[in-house]
Amino acid sequence: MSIEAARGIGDEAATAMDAAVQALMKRASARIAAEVATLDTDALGRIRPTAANIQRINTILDRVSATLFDDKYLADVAKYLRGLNTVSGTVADTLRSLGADDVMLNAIARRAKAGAATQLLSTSSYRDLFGSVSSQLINGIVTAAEASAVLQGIAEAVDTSGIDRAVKSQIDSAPAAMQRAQTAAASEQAGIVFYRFQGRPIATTRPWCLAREGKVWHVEEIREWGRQAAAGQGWDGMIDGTNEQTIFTYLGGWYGDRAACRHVLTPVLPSRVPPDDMARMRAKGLVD
Amino acid sequence: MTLTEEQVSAIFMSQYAIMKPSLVDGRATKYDVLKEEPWAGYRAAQRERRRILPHVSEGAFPEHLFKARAPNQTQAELDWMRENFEHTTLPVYMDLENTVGRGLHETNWNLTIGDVAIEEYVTTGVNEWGALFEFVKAALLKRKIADPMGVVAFLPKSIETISDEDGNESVAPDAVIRAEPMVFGSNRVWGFAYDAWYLIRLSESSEVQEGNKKVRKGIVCLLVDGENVWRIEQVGRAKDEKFDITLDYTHGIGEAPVIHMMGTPSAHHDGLVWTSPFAASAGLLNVALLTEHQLRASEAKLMFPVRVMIGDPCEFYDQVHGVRCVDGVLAWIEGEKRIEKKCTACGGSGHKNRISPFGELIINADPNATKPDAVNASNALSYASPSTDSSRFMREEIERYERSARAVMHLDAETPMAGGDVKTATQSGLDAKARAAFVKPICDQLFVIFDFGIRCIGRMMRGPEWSDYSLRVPVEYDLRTDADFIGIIAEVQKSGLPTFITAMLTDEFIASRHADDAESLSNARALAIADRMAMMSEAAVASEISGGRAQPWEVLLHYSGLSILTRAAQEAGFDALDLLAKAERLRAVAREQSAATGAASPALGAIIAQIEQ
Repeated sequence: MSIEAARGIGDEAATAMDAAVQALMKRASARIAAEVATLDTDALGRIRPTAANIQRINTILDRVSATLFDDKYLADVAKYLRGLNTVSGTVADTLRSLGADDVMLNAIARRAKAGAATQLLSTSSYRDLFGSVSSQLINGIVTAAEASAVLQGIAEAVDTSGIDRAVKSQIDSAPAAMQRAQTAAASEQAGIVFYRFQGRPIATTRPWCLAREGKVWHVEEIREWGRQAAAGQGWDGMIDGTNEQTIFTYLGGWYGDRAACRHVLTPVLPSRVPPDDMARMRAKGLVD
Repeated sequence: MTLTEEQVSAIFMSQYAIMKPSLVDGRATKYDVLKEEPWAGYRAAQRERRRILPHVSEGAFPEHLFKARAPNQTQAELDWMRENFEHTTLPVYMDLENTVGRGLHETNWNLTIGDVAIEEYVTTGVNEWGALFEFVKAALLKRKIADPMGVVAFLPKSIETISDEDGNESVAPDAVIRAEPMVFGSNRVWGFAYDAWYLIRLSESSEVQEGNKKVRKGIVCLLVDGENVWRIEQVGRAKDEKFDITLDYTHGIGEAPVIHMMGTPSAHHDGLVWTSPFAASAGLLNVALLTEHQLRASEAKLMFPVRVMIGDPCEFYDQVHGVRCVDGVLAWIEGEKRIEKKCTACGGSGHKNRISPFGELIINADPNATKPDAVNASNALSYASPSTDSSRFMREEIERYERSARAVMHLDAETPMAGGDVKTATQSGLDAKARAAFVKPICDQLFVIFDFGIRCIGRMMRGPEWSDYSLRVPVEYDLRTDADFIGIIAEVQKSGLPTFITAMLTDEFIASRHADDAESLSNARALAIADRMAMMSEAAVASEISGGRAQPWEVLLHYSGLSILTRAAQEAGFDALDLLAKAERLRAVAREQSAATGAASPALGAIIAQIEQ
């Protein structure tokens, strides 16, 4: 399997994880509704505006927090991590032939997976969700709203919320980020200087990527893109913070919510560099 | 007390003279006509027995309830009620029996008998029942509740005998008397002096001469005193009232092996009389039973409402006699005689049948026709049936009376009323105490009879000095159900009382549930001790886990305790450990299992495996 194909599997894993989070929200919605139903109501079904009910909000949030991650969700997280393993395994296989160190590649992969798992399994990644439920509950209690209306409001809010946006972005980007970090590290270690800017074009492929796609580039050329970006001469869709180091991870920039474009840098042996590309590099004085 | 034959004869003749007016074919049936009572309260005891029996036993028809018609009730309705009688109040007694049964549970008492032969007989050898206690538990309660002045006699049904050269039978010198419990209703107790002697009419009858015929109507009684059992049998011609009195056998235990079934003690004139604890409920249940049957009779009538429909006068014309139907009658004159005949067309009703062969009611289509019906399809036919309000009222009354009857015996805590408030744990607790107070004397008396039976059996086998047994009976009866315990524990958890109170109540619950199995009780308690989160609420447990304060093995022990207990229990020596050692072993097994799986749950384990890959 090529690095690009593995990258596709990583993207699918990230998409599946997004769906798993949405499914978790639907399940959590029912659990939260059950908890909210324990609030004291009057004969007309309105939540009583009492101090006891207000105090109960924390208990409800604690219980929801304690039971948020069910076994189904944990299985989905495991599946997502399996996707990262596929990406990592393929990248390692490819780079091993270039003399990359397995221990280091594994360390990068492990860190990426542990980071993603930690974020996916931390209730602090769901601050927006809890904040929304909390404020709806408070409003519902102090205004003595009908319990059914509050339940409906919470259900809608939970259904449409999910993991916090910034965390989602990191989870979506993790397969690509991990692959690029591994590639960069292996290349540095093996002294690789030629990379193919690989990836199939799509309708939204930005001009910056289109201009580089399919060609082999010298490592110094790539660093130069990063330096230009850092100097304020970036391009549409570029991620803030792109520089001569991070260019290897961020590459073309945003792809939807993901902090990584769809392209990959694949190491290339000098003998495989196309003559046109070699001539360009030679003209720049990068090769003899 | 040991009686002489003369004394036996005197006692019998005296009691016989009292009972005589009530006898029909040698049996006491018409007790209401007795001028004098064979013992204080005899008539009242029979009345009470008759009132209670229909509520505790199948087959006892409450004749007294259905003897008189209610105002406005027809004889046909009364007869229908008799024909369709059902014991609809039996469930109340069944609840009482089940409640008392819980008090008699084997874990509540303990019997040790030093003599192996007696122990074997008492625990397995009693004819039909096997164990004597089975008789006490299964047969005695119903009889005791219905007839507390009845007696239980511990007498042998047969004794080994030997015959001499002349063919005369006598008790074998080395015969072992094996007493069996026999219940005699109070109507058969023709006399007694507490603890001294008892005169009992047996169910069998002797052969006597009545005219030229021999009939089995002769009286056969036993008179049991502290040493002997005397048999009194009517012989010869019935009208001669001649009785043979013979010493049947000597039981020799120093006291009459007969005991009253007992109930609530009360003084009647100058004597002690036992009345049934069910008596107060019987009146209420009588009303419920009678009303139930009145309701059922009423329902049976309502099931078949009368159809009311329009009709046209019958216009049948009898061409033979040249007459027309008038009010259902065809009438003509033959000679000077007027002859009348029921109209064959309308059957005497005077109206034409408007129902078609397919059951439709036919009315005139055009209300403005020459002979309008002045009705339309919607009001041409109706059904006359009374309102069901009175039926509903009767149903409520029946339920009210049954509820009251249960309340008298504190049996009303089992099921909360539909639509009503569920009882609080405090109420349940009070009910449980009241119920225990009601049941205790009943259970205590059953144990008194059991104890008396063991003593009689043992002494008949080993002599009057035998007392080599120990019966430990319950001092308190805990009759709380699982639902009672769960209700109380839930309320305590909600109330915010200290957790150790929940723990203590839970321990009581465990003790109650596993009371009949010491090993099971010990294991359950060990599990409760080993699991530190056992008494925490679900939310608290979730908080412990999500906060990382619960170790994986603790989570495993909390949620998979039974599995861990099962595994630990298979280890040799686990049963011999004391409670704390068992708890410690359970924790150790949980740690081992947790370490083996490496995670608190398989789902989490899969995640860790993927990260470690």
